Amino acid sequence: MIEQDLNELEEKSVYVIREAKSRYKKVAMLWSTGKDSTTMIQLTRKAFFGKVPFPLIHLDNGLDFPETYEFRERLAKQWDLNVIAEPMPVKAEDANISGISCCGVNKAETLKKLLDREGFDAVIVSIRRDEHGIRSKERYFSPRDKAFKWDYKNQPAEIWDFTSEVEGTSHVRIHPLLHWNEIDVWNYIKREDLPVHPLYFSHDGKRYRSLGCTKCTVGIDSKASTVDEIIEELRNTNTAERAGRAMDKEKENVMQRLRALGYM
Amino acid sequence: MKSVAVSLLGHKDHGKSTLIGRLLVECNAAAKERVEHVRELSKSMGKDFEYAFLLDSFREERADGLTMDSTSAKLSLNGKVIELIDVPGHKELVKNMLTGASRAKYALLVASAKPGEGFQEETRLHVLLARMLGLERVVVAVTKMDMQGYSREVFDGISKSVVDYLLFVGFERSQIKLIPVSAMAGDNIKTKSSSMPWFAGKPVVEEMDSFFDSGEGEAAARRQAPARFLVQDSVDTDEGRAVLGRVEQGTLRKGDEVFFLPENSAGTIGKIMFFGRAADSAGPGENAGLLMDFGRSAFPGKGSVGCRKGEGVNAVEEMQAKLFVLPGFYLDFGKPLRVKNASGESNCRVARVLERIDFIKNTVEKEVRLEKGDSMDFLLAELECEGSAVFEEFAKTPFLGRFVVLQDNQIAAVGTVEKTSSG
Repeated sequence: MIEQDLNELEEKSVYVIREAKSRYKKVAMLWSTGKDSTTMIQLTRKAFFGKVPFPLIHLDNGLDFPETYEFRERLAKQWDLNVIAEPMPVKAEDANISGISCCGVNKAETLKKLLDREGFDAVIVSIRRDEHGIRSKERYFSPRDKAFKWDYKNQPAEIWDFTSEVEGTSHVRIHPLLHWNEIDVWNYIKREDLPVHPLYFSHDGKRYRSLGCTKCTVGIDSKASTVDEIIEELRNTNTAERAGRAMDKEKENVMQRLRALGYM
Repeated sequence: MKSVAVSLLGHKDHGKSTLIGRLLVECNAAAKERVEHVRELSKSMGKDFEYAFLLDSFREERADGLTMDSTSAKLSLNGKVIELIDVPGHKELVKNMLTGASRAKYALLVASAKPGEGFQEETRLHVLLARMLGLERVVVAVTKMDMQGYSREVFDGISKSVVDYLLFVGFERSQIKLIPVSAMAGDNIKTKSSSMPWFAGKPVVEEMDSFFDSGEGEAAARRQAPARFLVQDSVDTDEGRAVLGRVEQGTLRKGDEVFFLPENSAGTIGKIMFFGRAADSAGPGENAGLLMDFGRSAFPGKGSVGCRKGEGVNAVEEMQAKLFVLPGFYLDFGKPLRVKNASGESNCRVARVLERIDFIKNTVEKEVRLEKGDSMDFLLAELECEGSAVFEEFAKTPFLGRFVVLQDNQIAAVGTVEKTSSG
C-alpha cells in the first residue's frame, strides 16, 4: 500500500479546512468516531491552534457499538468538542438492513433535516479517493442540490484552487482528506499519537478495518492489536479496506446510487 | 516520501484510462478485489480484461467506454509516489480535464497509432492547455502499436506530428520523450518490449522516474524566491489576533517586516504560529499563523498577499494573458471580464487580441479584431485591469499568474499572465 509524505498531506488538508471556514457561513463536520474523521479533527486543531471551531455531527442510528459512544464522550471531553449527536431511528422494515435504505435514504434524510434545521451551508466529510472508485471521482468542494443529490454527471469545474458555484445548491460537501490513503491515516495517527476507537484493534483474532454500525460492518481476520501492527498489516495486504462494508459491492452499483442520493 | 502528479492527456478513445489501468496492474497498485471485480465485469460484457474499468467507475463510463470525469490513482516506484490523473478526452468535458490536469506538473500524452486515430484535435487542445498550465515535461506514449504491427515508420510519423505541435506551442525538445507502447498487450510499460527492438529508449515506468530529477533544485528555488504569503482568514488566539494563510513561495521569518496588498497594511512578524510546534520561519507550502500588530492599518483580509519589504508587487494596469474559453460560454469583449485569481477580483477589458488558435481547424490568426471570445477559443490578448487582484507573471509567481474568468459565479474561462506592466 502506498505511503505518502505526511507533512505534504497535512498541509493540503489544513489549507482546505481553513478555506472551508473562511468561505462558508456555517460549517459542520461529520464525525463517525472512526479513524478518518478523528484524524480530520486533529487536522482542524492544527488549522486553528488547538480549537475546533465547528460542531461535529454524529449521525446515530442507535445501533452503533457501545465502544463508539464511549469513545465519543471521552474524546469530546478531552478535546473540548461540540458534538451534535443526531438520532437516526432505524425503521422496522430495515431490521434486515440494506445499504440503500439505511445508509442511503435514512442517513441522507437525517442529515438533510439537521442541515435545514441548523442552517449549515457546508459539511466537511472525511472520504478518501482510495476508498472506492466512485469516491475517487469527487472534488474537494462538491455541491449538493436542494434534493441533496450529487450531480455526478455535471460536476462543477475545480481548476487550481478556484471553484465554480452552482445554482440551487443546498450545501457544499468539503473533502479535506481526499488525497490520503488508508495507510497514511494510520501513519499519521502514529506520528500524532491520536486516540483510536478500540474496535480497530484485534480482539479474539478479529478487528474492524472500516467501521460502520453493528449491522453493516464485518470484522476481518487480524492479529493487529497496536497501531504499529496495523501499519505492518496494511503494508502486506492486497485486499480492499471496505471489503467488510455491505454497501460497497460494486456489482450492483450500490455506491454510485447511494452517493447520488446524498450518502457520504 | 517524494511524490509527483502526472496528468494523462490526449484524444478520447486513444487509451488514457487503459494505459493507467495497465500501469497500476503492472506495478501491483490495484487491490486484488478490484482487479477481480473488473475481470468479472469485463467478462459479463463480453470483453477481454478492460484495464480502463479500474479508473472508470461510473456505470455510464463503463457502458459507454468513455471517461466522464477526472480521477486519480497512485503507484509507487523505488520508494517514490506517482499520482496518475485520468482525465476525459472529449472536448465538451474539458472543464473536467482541467480540474484534473491543473493539479499536475508533468504529463503523459497519449497518441494512438491505430489506423484513422493518430494525432487529433483533442490531443492538440490538451497540448495547448498543458503548455498554459505550465506542465514541465511531457512523455508521449504512442499507443496501440500492436494494431500497426509494431511498425517503426508509424511510430516515427506520429512522433513527428506530436513533436512539431509541442514545439509550436512553446515546449522545448528537451522537455519531450516519446515511447511506442501497447497498453493492452503490455509493451514498453514496465519492461522493454521485445516486439520493438528498434526502440532504444526506456519503457514508460522508467521514463517517469525522470520526473523526480528536478525536485531538489526546484524546491530550493521556491524557498529562495521573494516571499509571498496568501491570506485565507484571521483568528483570535490566546496570544492575539493571527493572520492565517499559506506561504506560496519564499521563506518568512520572525522579525520580518511584511506588508499586505491590497490593504497596504504593514507590520512586523512577532511570532510564527503552528499548532504543537515552535518555529522561527515558514517555508513554501506551509500553512502558518502570523502574529502581527498592524497599528491603525486594516487587518489583511482573505486574498491579501503578504510580501517582505523591498520584494513587493507593483499594481498591474495592463497585462498580456493567455485565455481559454470553456465550452458553453463566450466572453463579450464589449464589457469588462470578471477576472479572479488567488488574491481577489479585477475587472479586465480586452484591449487587443494578439493571437487566436483554432485547435479544431488547426489554424493561427494574428491581430484579430474580435467582439467576443467564442466557446473553446484559445487566445493571447492584452487586458486592461482595474480592481483589487494582485497579478504577477505566471512563470515567476504561478499562484498569482493564473486566473479564471467568472460569469454568474461559474468558471467561463481560464488564463495565465504572460507579461505585466504598471502603465
